[in-house]
Amino acid sequence: MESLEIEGIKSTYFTPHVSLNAQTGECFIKGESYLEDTWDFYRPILTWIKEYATTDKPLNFTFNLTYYNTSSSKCFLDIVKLLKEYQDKGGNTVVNWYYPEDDEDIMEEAEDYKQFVGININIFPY
Amino acid sequence: MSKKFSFFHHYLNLNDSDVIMSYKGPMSDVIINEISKDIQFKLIEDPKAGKKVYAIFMELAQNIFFYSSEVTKFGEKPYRIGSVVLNEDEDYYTLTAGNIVDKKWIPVLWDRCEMINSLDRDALRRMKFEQRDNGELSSENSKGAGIGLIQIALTSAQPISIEFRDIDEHNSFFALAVNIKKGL
Repeated sequence: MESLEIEGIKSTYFTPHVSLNAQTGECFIKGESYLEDTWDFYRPILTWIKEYATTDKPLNFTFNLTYYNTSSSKCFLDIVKLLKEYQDKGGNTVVNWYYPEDDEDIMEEAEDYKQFVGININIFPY
Repeated sequence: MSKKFSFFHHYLNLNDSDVIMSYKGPMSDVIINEISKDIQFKLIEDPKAGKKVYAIFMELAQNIFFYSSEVTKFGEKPYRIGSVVLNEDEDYYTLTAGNIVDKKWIPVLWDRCEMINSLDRDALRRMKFEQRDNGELSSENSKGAGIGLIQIALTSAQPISIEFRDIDEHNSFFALAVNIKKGL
């Protein structure tokens, strides 16, 4: 399967930088997320993760966001749930979440994903 | 619920010196972007509170962008109309948003707001998670995740005040105000 790379763009809307590497399993979403059509943007990312999860290769997923709206947070939840599914069926999955050290709101969200989805998330300030 | 908020008195009582930003009109994506940059720039000396004001402004502006019942058209493109004001006093920034809504939403918004104000932070976090989990991305009253109001309460860590004033048989003016503590 192919890797997926989306450049981050900051104009009227903010597109995060997305990198999903099909060879190494190193994946990240970085930057700001506020999109004209949130679902349209994240659908191919969810599809990619579902397909990768059939390969049984390790997956290392990193969230590194400085701002996102509530619509985007819904899609992050969908991603975290897919990662949890992969982990539950034996996939080697690591989830990291970096937040700006003065932004407790983003840290709390990461904690909520961790607690309510029941997946281990390594949460780091930077 | 905290002290009743009156958008009308608030507006009449605004001193120019207290107003950081004030907008009324079609809420286009370009306007949202410009105002958000203006807010970030003006609150740069108070970064923690400034980011909260910015994030709450974005949710309020998107509420108007998606849900205001007052619509104007430029060419073929419809724009929803609303107002957002940011002002400050010694201790707090206050964001106020207003737009016209169909009266059928009044009880829904009242209940939601009262519920939000009655819950502690942990319960709010749980409620946000559960609603996001069930949220439909494209239903009539939820083009986003349907958790904007809860997020506003969590980000501000203050109660939300709302007010309605009837405009005609079908429509009411909906105003929402929230404070953000300065110098966090």
